[in-house]
Amino acid sequence: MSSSVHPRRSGKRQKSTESHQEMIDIETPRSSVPGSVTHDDDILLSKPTSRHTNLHTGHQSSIMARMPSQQAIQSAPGANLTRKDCHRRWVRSSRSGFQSIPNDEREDQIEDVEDEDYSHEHHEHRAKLIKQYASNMKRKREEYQKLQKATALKYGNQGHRDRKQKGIWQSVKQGFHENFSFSLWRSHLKEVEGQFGNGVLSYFIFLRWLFYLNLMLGLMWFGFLCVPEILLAHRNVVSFDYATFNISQSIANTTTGASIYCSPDYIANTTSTTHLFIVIISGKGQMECSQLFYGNYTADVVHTPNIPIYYSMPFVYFVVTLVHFILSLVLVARSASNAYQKSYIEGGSSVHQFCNKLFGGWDYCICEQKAAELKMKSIAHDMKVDLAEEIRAIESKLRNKKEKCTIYLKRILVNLIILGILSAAGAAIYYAAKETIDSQTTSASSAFLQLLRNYTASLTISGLNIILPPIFSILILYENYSPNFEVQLTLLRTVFLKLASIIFLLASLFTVTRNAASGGSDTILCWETYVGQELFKLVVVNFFVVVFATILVEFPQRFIADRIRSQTICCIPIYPPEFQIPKNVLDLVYAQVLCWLGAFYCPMVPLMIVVSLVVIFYVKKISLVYNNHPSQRPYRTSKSNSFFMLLLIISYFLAAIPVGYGWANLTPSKQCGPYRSQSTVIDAITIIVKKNLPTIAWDILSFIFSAGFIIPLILIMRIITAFVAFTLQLPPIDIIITILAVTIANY
Amino acid sequence: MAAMFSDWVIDLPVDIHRDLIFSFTVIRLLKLAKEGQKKIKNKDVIMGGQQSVFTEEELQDYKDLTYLSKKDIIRAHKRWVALAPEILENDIRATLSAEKLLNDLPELRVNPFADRLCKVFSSSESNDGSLCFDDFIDMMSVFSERAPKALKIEYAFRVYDFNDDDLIDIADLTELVSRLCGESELNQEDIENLISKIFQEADLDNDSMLTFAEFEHVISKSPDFEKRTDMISLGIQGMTITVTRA
Repeated sequence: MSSSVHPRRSGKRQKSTESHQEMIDIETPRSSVPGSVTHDDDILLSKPTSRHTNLHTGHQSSIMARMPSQQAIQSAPGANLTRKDCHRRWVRSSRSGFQSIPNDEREDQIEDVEDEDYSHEHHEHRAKLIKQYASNMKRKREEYQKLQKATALKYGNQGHRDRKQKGIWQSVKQGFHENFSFSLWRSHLKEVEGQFGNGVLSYFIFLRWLFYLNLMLGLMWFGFLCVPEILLAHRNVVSFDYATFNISQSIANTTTGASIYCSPDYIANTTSTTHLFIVIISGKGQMECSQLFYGNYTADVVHTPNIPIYYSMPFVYFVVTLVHFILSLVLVARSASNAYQKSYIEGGSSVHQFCNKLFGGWDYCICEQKAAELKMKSIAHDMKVDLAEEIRAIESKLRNKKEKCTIYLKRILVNLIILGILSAAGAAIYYAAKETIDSQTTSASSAFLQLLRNYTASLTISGLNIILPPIFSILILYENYSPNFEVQLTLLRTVFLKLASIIFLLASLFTVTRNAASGGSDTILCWETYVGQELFKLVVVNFFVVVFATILVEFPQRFIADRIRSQTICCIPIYPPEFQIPKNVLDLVYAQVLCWLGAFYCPMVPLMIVVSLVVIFYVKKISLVYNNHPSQRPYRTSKSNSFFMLLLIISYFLAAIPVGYGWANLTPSKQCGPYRSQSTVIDAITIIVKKNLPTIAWDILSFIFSAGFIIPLILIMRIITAFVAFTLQLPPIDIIITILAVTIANY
Repeated sequence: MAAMFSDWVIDLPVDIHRDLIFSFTVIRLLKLAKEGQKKIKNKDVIMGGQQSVFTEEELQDYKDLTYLSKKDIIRAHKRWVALAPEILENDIRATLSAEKLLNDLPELRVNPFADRLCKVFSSSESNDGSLCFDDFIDMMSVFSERAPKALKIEYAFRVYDFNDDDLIDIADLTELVSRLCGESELNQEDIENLISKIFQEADLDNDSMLTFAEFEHVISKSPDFEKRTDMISLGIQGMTITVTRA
């Protein structure tokens, strides 16, 4: 054997048994370990030697070495050069197709194939294998140079040209990646990772992902709607294109200024408030007729005399919203399926939980002494908790009937209480929303009180979101679950609370739209703008709550915890603040739901969310670095990631379905917005599309969207996705496709 | 305000407007092209005022043999040189001893397995854990995001095998647990419990030792293993404030 990385291993181990003693005599040369490379060409033809043998006799070992199972063990990727056999077979089968070759001709075939072997793919394949060798650089370099020489010899010029061609495209792509790869906030994230490890980092990476998503959406909304609106705002609108919708001129009532876009009645009714701060915060007054809200956008096709510009605002509005939803769905689904695949399919069950925690437990990204010590403590703590949990599981099986009954009774009781709390919260939100609606048409004694009435719904929702989760975490202590399960269940309940609050708010807004259709003096004139305002207020309140909760709670908490040694003030334990990842991720998901829901009615919401995300990033990071101690409880990143991605998808549908329903069934208000004169949004779009497409295209389009096409399409897609899921062993995503298809077919 | 601006923009005679925009974009494109050309023409990679020691071929060589990008290789080189400038300025192939590395590299300083890492990646004859630049690059490559899981598993096994006998036995596991959890956290009974649980889960042939196959079988299912052994997902950490971006 030629020189190897380590000297020959002759297992010096103190084992008492005779059989193991014999094993020591078997020299397992380290160089024959898969992954280390030798120059010995005999390796190509020799049988694979045994690694990590723990057999009893030398004779048995050589027999065992030839067993297929042993050979399988050694085939770590990229290890043995005997892989050439496999490669030969692969090349032969791919070149000769599936014809069967008579046996005697096979030998010749092999030689021919070998000569053509050093094609570009083969070179790439071998280069990849060399990269994967688990040995040091010197050997890898020697192997690689050998490969280069061999390829040059065998293939000569043609191969070189071939490789160069492919190389140009590859090098362009690589150059692009290397020069333009811009990673936002990289130094901040590195700092967080070094101090707090992987779990907290995943929160910030999620935040950054949402930032990119919202930036893309926000720029789209801004560019396609607000910019044309601004540029063309004061031009003389030649509204003859209003004939698109075949309505009378009186509704349009064009004069100069903002009143083009909202009818004069509406303007007169809404620009009464004067105080600037109130105007900005509550989105009323001047703000109401700005680009901020849906009500501002015109139904006219703007057509100016000097520069021929033809911009169909209703159509663009609809298309942008569609793109907004479809793009979000694609990106979120992709990210979710990645996370799901990583955690559940590759992650396996909790069968190996101790091994995973021990062998995969250390976080190599940590760079600080304090963080390292804390990580060690948290791993130890985790082990102890797991061991205790095993004991607890055994104990719980041994419980007698009486204890079991008590515990189940307690659990049912707590669940009922929580259900009651949730319904009470829902009712509170509903009535608060009603109060806000009333405040639109009546006015209170002072401006400040009016502002409060405006904000009732949002404040109620945020208040409940702050108060109730700690109550949940106290209640769950009575239920006698294991600590891990407690955390998960509390999280689930908080999720229900947040989603339920949005649903109740939507229910109250739905009654508004009902009322608006009926008319009368106390109805809201432009219900879409009102919906936009509500969501705008929710976004603002959520942002302030998150920022101030961080600043006003964590700094004092750390201040006090540092001063007080005994850690209790009047029996209330004061701990230094810990960064609670699930709670914070839930806040982000909530903000994102508001963004999706609100974008149609208030086009600037994505950009507002972008700004709020930037501010939240810096606030959270500064608070984290100055105040927080890393949490004692270790965090299972991948399982939690997949859970939060699933949550994002569910929230997406929670946001998309009401908007879609509104398009199909709700009447747009008569005084404002791009769809003033039509019965539903979908009708308006149908008219526009029909007018502008040739008849054939329209026929095809209407056929595609009719039931006769969609149902067979659904069936075929189900079959395809089931087949794909079966072959690739991915989770079937046909649920998403089915829901989408049904929604489309339903209008 | 917006109205005034849009006024000005649109009221310019249309052709001058168009010409201005066109000429601006053309000038910008030409500038970009020139800069790009300069970059490609330079064989030596120059950054931050420092002359580099790599030619294009050497950089490509490293790139072919490891899982790092060119930027990462250059950054790694900078950090390496900064560790012991007096020695390394003269001879880039010099080796640094294990003690120096354990003291100065922040990733290794707090790592409980730092000495094992140095030993495993060391290619020196005396096998004392000293690393040269090639070994350092090798280590960064294994700990990078693009390295395949199997490679990381292979090295993890070598690191955890404290007595270098290609098996993880009870002594190895005891050492592992005590290093991982700190010295005084778990008492003897807990440690024994833990080790027996590990063997229950992983040891398939019940001989109180873990071979590479058993180890790999267990670790390849671990969902967080890849993320945790990934020091470079955010790029190799830049140095202090004085060094600008490469």
